[in-house]
Amino acid sequence: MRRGLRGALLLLTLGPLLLGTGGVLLPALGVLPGVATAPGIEVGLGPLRAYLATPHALGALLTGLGVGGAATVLSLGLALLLAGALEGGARPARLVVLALPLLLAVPHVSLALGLGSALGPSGWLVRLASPWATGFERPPNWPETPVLGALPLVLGLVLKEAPFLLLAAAASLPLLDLPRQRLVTAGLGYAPVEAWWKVTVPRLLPYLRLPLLAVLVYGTTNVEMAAVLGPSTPPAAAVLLLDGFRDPDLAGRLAASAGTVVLTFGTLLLALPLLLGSRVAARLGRRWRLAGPGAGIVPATAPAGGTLAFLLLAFWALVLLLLVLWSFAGRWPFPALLPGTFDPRAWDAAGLLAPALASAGLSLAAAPAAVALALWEIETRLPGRAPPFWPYLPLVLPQLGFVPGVAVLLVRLNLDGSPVAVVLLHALLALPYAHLLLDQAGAGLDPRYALAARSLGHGPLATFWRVRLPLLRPAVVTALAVAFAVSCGLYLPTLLAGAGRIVTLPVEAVALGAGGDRRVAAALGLVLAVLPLLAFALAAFARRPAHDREGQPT
Amino acid sequence: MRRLFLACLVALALLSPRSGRAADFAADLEAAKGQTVDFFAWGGSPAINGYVAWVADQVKDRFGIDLRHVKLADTSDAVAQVLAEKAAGRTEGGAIDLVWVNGENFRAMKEGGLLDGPFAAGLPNFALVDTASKPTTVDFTVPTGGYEAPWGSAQFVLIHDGAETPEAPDTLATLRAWIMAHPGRFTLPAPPDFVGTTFLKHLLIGLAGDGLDLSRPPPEDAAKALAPVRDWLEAVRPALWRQGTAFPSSGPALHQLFEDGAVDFTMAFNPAEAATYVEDGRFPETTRSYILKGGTIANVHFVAIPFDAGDKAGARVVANFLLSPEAQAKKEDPAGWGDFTVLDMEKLDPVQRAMFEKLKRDPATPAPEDLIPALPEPHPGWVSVLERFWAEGFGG
Repeated sequence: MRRGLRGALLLLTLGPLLLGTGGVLLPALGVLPGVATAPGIEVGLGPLRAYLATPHALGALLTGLGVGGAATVLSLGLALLLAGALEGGARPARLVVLALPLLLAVPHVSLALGLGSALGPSGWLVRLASPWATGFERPPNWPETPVLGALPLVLGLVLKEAPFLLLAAAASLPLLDLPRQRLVTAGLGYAPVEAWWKVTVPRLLPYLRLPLLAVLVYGTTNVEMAAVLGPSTPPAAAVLLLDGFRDPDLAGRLAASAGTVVLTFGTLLLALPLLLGSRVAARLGRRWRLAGPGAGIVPATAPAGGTLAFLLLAFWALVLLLLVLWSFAGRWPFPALLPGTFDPRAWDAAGLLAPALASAGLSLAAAPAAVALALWEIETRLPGRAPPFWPYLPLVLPQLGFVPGVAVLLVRLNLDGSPVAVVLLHALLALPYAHLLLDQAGAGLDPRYALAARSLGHGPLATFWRVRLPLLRPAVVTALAVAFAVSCGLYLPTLLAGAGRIVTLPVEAVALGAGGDRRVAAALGLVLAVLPLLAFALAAFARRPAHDREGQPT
Repeated sequence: MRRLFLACLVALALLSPRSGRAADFAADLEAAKGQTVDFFAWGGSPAINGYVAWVADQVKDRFGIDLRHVKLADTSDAVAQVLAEKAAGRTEGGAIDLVWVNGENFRAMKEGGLLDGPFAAGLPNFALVDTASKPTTVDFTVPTGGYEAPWGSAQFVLIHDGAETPEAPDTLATLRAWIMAHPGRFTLPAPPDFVGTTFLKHLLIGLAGDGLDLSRPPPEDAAKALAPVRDWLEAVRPALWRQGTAFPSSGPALHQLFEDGAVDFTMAFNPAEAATYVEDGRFPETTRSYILKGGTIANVHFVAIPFDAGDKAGARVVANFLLSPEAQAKKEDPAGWGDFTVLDMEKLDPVQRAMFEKLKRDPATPAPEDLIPALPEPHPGWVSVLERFWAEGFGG
């Protein structure tokens, strides 16, 4: 029974994933099943050679990997600083926690669009200082350098991923039994901030490996943020690869497939030190940690975290404000801080209702499906077994890599454009997030509840339904909201698996964003943020009574 | 006698297929009722999207067709879709019924056997198309063979604010001198954006076109032939926007820079595009469009039907409606899209002609006599050569 259930689950999740990956790996080796015309690239290393011959292939690879790596390290540092400041009771840090659902809900695309109008030579920040301080009557003619050009993208990623890591940390902290640890550390004379860095962080880091991997893979391989915020010379690798996948010439696609494989390997290589890094850092910091309580720079991290929390919130507020302003702006030349005229036309032109309904319907179906897949895995796993890695494969594989393969598969099954197929693909892509949240909550659940239920004569299904699920309820609600938000933000899978016939908000936003229409894009970005926000608000509402009634499940 | 014989042949050729076609189209009209036509078309412009929405309303009322506009960020996504369907062995029920296409994407689809047809000559309204003075049967030098039906015509223009920059450099030499004298005030959208690529084509025609037959596929040593283009660009590069270290990603992105006041010139592949921006209040009232002295490239854009389209009859009915005088006049209205017609005014009756004559031309749009000469597109093979030339020397 258990074996059959797990087999079916594997088929449902790994099946499309492996076939989709095959649909990228084979072209990467110059093999395109079903296409009669010879693409003129030799089977084997031909596509790889073609990719490496693409101008800026290496520069783009370095930019993509550098941006992803830097954003991951900075996001982790910021998340830990914020959490430490929270331990120390810094007020702005507490505000970040309050704003967390908002920061998590706003999709990457919306953030990128808003941030793009804040940064850059004609951006709002330069306007703020012009012309009174800078003397600029027109946008300055600054050159773009590879490092400076990549900063907006890194900043955008950090603004989005640091809150995500903070959430992942908060989800893991209950496993560390902090109240009792606090008693011990306080007894030994550690200030809360010091205990955070010397005791809690080393214990916490292993739990953050998978979220970190997710952040890294998104950072190195995403297209939507890199296209809006990224540098242009050279661009991040994913943008270059998307160009290749869009090449009407088959050779371009084969090369892009090979490039995707290279980018994936590069990302995994980058992940190794990052994942082992926590162990190395723990070893290196051992003496410092074991030296016992003492001052040093540690107390300073609390105010620093507070300041950074304030900056993070300020950037987010600016981004959202600029989205609102641009969506209502008429003529707005440099260096005006506010639009000269207001014009609601962007809200008519966007045709917001149909894509908003499509997004909501799709994600309403995909979120429970993702949560069901995650629970399916968790509840059919043999007790004591370590969580498997395969539910996280959709995060580790760049979407650009396996989604086109899945799309070809769907076409072959005559399922492309069917809402069911798109819902399943969305569920598959939201599965890692749902699994991450639910697995940790499940692991933190005292197994004796289930044992007691079984010994009282309940079957496995009844035990799950009546004992474990209610205990997991807060985590399930959170997972639903997160899966919904993830699904809402998906562009590439919706476009490809939906064969373009399923037009959701991001599909519309990216099409219009590609047209460079700041106003309509801003309006769509705002609506795109509202849906997941509603989900998070509902989740917060649904979680609260459970806490009050039953207390913490751990 | 021989002449009479020829005349009879011509009459036969004209008559017999046409009556056949009329019957075919009547069958199409019948079959199209209740079909849902998925129209894959670039969706980056609200003005164009608004026009397609109008078309959707019309074909619903007139023919009972549900037209769905699938907004593409890049037309080659549609090519990729059809290619994926072909790779999967599908021959019917494809996702795309009608696609807005021209140039390189058309060539790729035609050569890949991805298109249905020929169908264009079977559309009743094709009889009204200007096939003599507009390239409506040749797409970037590639004969359409009836595998796509013309939809609109466009010409490349430069755009500036007549009040800010009264001088409008209209040769490559004066443009170069202007750029050097005004550092940071000019740039182009980075190819492969088609507006940027078209700007490069003008450099190709103006600086390297003498020794080359651009209507033929590029020669083996095409890169060498581009040396004068490289020299021109290298010379002005330090004086371009952001010192030539970054370029806007698309035509509309360059329009945004122009609106911000970051540059003094923008460019478009539609003489009426600036007018729609003035209308929206995004460009100043004093905005003007003009062409280079030796002329600028003009081309026609088309709609095509993929080989595996699920609703071919509906697609043909929509393609025919797009060619109707009413739909073409609506499209040319500068208050909407402002895209020029492909119809021959001589072939229209007075009522139909009046629909075009009553359209008002915005001062930002050049008069037809100011759009002469119109140059033909180089062979589509030049697109990838120029894109590669740009990627290697300048952009990403």
